[in-house]
Order: sequence, then structure tokens, then C-alpha cells
Amino acid sequence: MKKVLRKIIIIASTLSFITSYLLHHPKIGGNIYSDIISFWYRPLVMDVRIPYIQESFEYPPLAGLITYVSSVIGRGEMIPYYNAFSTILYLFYILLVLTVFKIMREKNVPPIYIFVFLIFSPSMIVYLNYNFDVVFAALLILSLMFFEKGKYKISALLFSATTLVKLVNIILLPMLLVSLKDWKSRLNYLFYVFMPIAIVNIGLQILNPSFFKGTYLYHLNWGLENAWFVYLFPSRGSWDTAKLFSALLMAYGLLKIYLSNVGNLYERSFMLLSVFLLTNYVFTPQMVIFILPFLAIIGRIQPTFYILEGANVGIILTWFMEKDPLMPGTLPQNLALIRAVALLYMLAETYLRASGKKMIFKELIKPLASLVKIL
Amino acid sequence: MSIAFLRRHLSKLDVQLAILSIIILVLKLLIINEPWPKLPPSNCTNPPLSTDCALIFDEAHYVPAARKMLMGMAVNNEHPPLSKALIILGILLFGDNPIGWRVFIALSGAITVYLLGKLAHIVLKNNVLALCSAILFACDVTSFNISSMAILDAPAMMFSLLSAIFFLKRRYFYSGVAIGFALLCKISSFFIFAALLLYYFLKTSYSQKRFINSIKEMLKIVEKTLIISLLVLLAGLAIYDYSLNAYSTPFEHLDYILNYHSTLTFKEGDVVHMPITWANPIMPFSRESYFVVKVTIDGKEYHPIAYYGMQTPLWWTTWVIFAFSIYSSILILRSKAFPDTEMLILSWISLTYLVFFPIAYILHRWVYPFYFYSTVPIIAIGLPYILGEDKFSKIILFSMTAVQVAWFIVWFPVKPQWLIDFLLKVGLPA
Repeated sequence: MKKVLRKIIIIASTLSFITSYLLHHPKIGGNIYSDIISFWYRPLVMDVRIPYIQESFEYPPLAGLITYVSSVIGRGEMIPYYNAFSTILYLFYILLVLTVFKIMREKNVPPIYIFVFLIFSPSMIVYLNYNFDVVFAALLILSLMFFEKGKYKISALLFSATTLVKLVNIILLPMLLVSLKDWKSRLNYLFYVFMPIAIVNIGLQILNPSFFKGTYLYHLNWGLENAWFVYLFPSRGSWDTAKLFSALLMAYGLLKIYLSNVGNLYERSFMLLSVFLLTNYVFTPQMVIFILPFLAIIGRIQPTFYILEGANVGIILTWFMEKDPLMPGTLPQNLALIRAVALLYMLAETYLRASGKKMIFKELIKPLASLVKIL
Repeated sequence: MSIAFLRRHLSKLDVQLAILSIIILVLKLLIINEPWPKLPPSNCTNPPLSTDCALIFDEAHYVPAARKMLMGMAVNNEHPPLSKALIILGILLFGDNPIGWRVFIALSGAITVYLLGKLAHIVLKNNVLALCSAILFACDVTSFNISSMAILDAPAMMFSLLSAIFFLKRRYFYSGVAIGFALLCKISSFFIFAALLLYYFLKTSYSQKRFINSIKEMLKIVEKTLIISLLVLLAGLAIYDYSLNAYSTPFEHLDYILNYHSTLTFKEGDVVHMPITWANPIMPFSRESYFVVKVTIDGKEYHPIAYYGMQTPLWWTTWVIFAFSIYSSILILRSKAFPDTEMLILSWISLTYLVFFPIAYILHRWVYPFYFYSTVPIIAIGLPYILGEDKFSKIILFSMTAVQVAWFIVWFPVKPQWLIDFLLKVGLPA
């Protein structure tokens, strides 16, 4: 039964991936934009140049490696490059699905949730063959699985690899360190996390002195993208303050979860990533992939999830209908706002359930009610 | 009977503080119409503003701003609106004249004296020392001047002290509301609140066994105070922005405020009174003339109106209080206790005064000696604290208080003729 289910999951995942592959295929009419294809138009991929050394690239080194390998295979041709990139993403996707399936089995979570959240969820289909998010999610979930099993060295190395794809997982590090029993094991874990990161980054910095600026500082110049608080800071001139607002809000939200002692490893990871997504000044739609594996492991269907999914997919579908889709009031930003409300609700529900409370309206407005009482 | 009644009531700190505040208020009201403008408001709304407009110091910004706001214009947006709203209220009630401009600011200034006494009592737990603190603050001539003119600082200080009282009484929600109003008067009120938060953090870190628990505790306080204060600030800004059509959201307004203040930098060659000169009797900053009328009769020069920004004897004790608080903290910590008052003093001085050192020396942001107004309350509390132990120290304290009062009389901004005559007779500046 287990083997049959495993096969069904692999086949279903493959079908899901093929759908995503076709949706973004550059030769199919009406294809949907993907970052993979947008990379192709850069000299980095078209002229098969070495990322960070010959050409700057705004993603961390492992993401650069995936792009470089794909471009080498593609030899300046779009379709072979696209196929190579897709194959790599497919392998990581299967790794993600099977790892989540293994964790769910160990926790006796019904397998239906893997289909709901990881295989047939609209965000997964639309944003799967799109960017490095599935690689990030696969490495992160694998790292957490090993962490839960007490295999800290391999967990730390995988965590390090995750950071080399996208830096976001760093926000989970304090949570992991706090749950280790003593300072020696914490320092050990930190060593294995940061050593590979340091070696790769220092090496690249030596080879190209502008590596750090071109790769990491590049993002600091980005403005607000699909962040709900664009409605509070509608003019571009105020976005530096919006970023400060974002940082303060994120620090508060993360601290709140770090200090709460609520939920298991996966619930806390979901809450931390949700706080990040809700407070970061860039919340691109493909980032929803970060939280989908955790929702599958938590194993609960929240009706709000479909609102989140609908809005999230709608962002890319309406993006090119607008002259300036980053501005408040446009369709993508309205959908981003709806998505944020839905995610906030899911976060609150997860938090309350994990602390043994039910998601009831009275509970949600409790702080407000006490405020009114004081007044 | 009536003597017994008076004795019973006058011995109460509240009554003493109320009397002191009323005296200060009366003094402020007696001089409120000096200087009086010779020009009509219509000639004193747009720069260049003549001295005949009778605007003291930064009144030149805020009184014209209040006039324009009355006309429905959104101006002076780099500062929040509450203090200006008080100026407007005064104008509406008493007319567009010095009484109208300054009456609510003067009232706020008098209330700060009462609040400072209450705060001092919470910290020092001694009626005499608390009264001494209030007198030191009330007779600080620069603080008196700043809280007599139509500028933003006195209401900001009033709400800040109110917030500090609530904070030390552990009524955090109200403390947050009060600091929210202070922020609505002047954004730099945040420094006082940051000092209170730092003090609380140090205290919690000492009392909690695990550092993580102190962060947890701190987060609760931040939620009860800081978040509430920001909500009050944003609500106030929103009312202003929507009613005067200034900004599309209060966040955009906040962005303008923050950006504006970060651009105020000085260049080489500019004359800046750096923070080291503010409380330093050896290298003091030169007295700043806010509004001075000079009269010369028979070769004798005197100043019937002279609003100055200047050091007072109280300011000179800043570094002594700071050093003593560090020394005392070390001793108390060695005896395994938390140096509560010392930490409050150190936090307050650090975040209202020392913070201007990097701001001025590294960031090259314009700074002015009157910013020390935020530090004066804690110096006024700190001096009685370090001199309140034994009889000899108390004699020094009372002598210093007397010197502070004398200094106040000599530099009182609007002098009656008899005082001028007396000062000239004894050879003091008049």
C-alpha cells in the first residue's frame, strides 16, 4: 500500500510538474512569464558566462550554479536551457514531495494533504517551474527532518545549502539553536551552517571584489513588491521608510514567535516564514511555495487557504495587464492585499491552535476588547 | 483653626507642587504679552519676518504656521501638529496676539513643574527632595523660557513626564497613550521614552534568571506602550492629514518627518554648539539670544526683555551626577541589588543627551543647546538624589537650589524696572 501510494504521489507530482513546465514553455503560445526564461535573455545565460565572476547575479551561489549548469547544457539555445533548468527543478520537487511524504507518514498525517498542498495547489503548479523556490523548500524541509531526528551535522549542512539558494531560511536559525540542548551543540550547529556559506562566499569575493555588492546588496535597492503596506506608503518616494517599517514589523513578529514556545518544529517554521512573508517588503508570489510543505505536514485544511491561493495565482495572471503593477489600487496589488489578509488569518489560526486555543472571533478581538474596556 | 488647616495642607507635597506650579504660571502670564507686536498678523505670516512681529526664537516658524493652518493650509509638516493645535486654540480663544499664541504653552510649562515634582517623588520617595527637584526645574531659566514661548517643546515635555509617571507606576497603557501625545507634539520626545524602555530592559535583565525571559518581558511592555503610542501618533497625523489634505496616509507624513530631519546636516565652517558645550562650565556655548531688547540710559546698558538659551548652575552638575550614578551603580551591583534610580538617571541622560554626540559628531546633524531641555528633568531629580543622604549634603543641595533660584531671578526674561535697578545697583547683568 505504501509503495503504491508512493508511486501515485510521484506520478501525480510529475503530472503537476509537466503542467507547470508547459505553462511557462517559451514556445507555447500564451505562456506565462517565468524567471527562468527572463534569465535566458541576460548575457549570463545567453552567452554562457560564469555567474558572479564574469557576470553578476542577484541570487546566492547555489542558485547561480543551477543557472550556470543549465546554461552550459543549453549552449546559448533557449529550449535546451529551459529543459535543463526544468529537469533540475523537477528533481528537487520530487525530493521535496517524497521528504514531506516521509515526515507525514511518521506523524500519521493523512496523505490527502500532500495532494492538496504540494501537488494540486494552484500556486505550486503555476510557480513550480519558475524560480529557485522549490529547491529552497526541498533543502529546507530535508534539513528540518534531519534536525528533528537529531542528525544535526547533516541538518546544518543542508541548512547551509538552503541559505546558498535563498537567504530566507536564516530566520529559522534562532528557533533551531534555542531547541538545541547546550551551547556546545549550538556552536557546532552554527559552525556547520556557516562554514560552507563562508567558504563559498569568501571564495567568490576573492575572485570578484564586487561579488557581495552585485549579489546581496542589489536587493536593498528593490522597492516594495506585493507587500500589503504599499497601501500605507503609496508613493515611491516613501519606500525607504516603508522598508524601515517592514524591518521593525518583521523583528517584532519574529521575536513574538521565537519567544512564544508554541507549536512543533514545523508549525513554528510555518509561522516564522509566514511572518517573514507578511512583513517583508518583497513578497513575490512564488514565495508561497516556502510555506506549502509545512501546511501539508500540519495537516489541516483551512478554507482561507483557497483565498490565499486564488489571490496568489491571480497576481501573475494580472501582472501584465497593468501599466505599473507595483502601485496600490492595481489588480495585482489588490490581490496581494487579499493574499496578506488570508495568510494573516492562517497564521493566527495556526498560532492559536498550536497554543491549544480555537480560532474564534472573540479570541481574535480580545486585545481590542480589553483596550475598549480600559478606555 | 485656619493656621492648623493651612499647616496640615501645606505640608502635603501635592499642595506644595500645585502652589509652585501656580507661581510659575503666574510669572509666565505676567510676562506673556512681552514682546508685543507692532505689526498686524497679515504682515507677520510670510518671511522675511521683522522683529516688530515680536516672535521669540522658533515662534517665527510656529506662529505663522498656526495662522496658515487656520486658513486651511497644511504647513510646517516636518513637525507633528498637536503643539501647533494648542497655539491655534489659544488664538481662537484669545485672539491672534502673544496671549493667544503662548497661553496654552505656558500652561503646559507650568504643569510640567507639577509633574516633575510627582515624578521626583516616585523616584526619590521623599517629599522635601521632590519639592527641591521641582524648584530646580521650575527655576531653570532656559527651561522656563522655552516653556513660555509658542514652540513645540513644553507640551511635548508635559506629556513625556506624564508618560514617565505612568511608566514608573506600571500603568503602561496610559504611559503609551501619553507618549503618543508627546510624539504628536514633537517627534524627539521618543528619546525620553526610549530612555524609559532602556531602564526597564536593564531592570528586567537583572531580575530575570534567563536573558530570554527578560526579552519576553520587554516585548510585553513594548506592546503595551510603544505600539499604543504609535497608534496615537498615527491617528493624530491621520486627522491632520485628512482634514488639511496634507498626505494621502499618515505613514507618508511620517516618512516626510523622518526624511526632513535626517537632511538637516551642517557643513565645515558652520557655527554649531556641539553637545560637549551644553553642560560644560569650562567650555560653555555662548549664550543664545532668542529675543533681546537693549536699552542704554546714561551709559548704562540693560535688557528689559531678554529671552536667552543659556546654561544654568543645574546644567553644570550633569557630569557629576552621571559619574556618581556610575560609581553608585557599581557599589550597589556588588552588593547584589539593582541600582534602580541610578539606572534611570543613566538611561535618561544617555538617551536624551549623550545620544546627540554621535548624531552631531558623526552624522553632522544640526544640534542646538535647547535640546538639553529633555535632560533637565532628570538632572533636577538626580541632584537631590546624590545630595539627599546626610545633613551636610543636604546643605549643599539647598545652597545649590538657592543659587539656581538666584540665577533665575537675575536672568528672568522680562524684568520689572525695580529688578533692573536692583541688579544694576549690585553690579549684576540686567
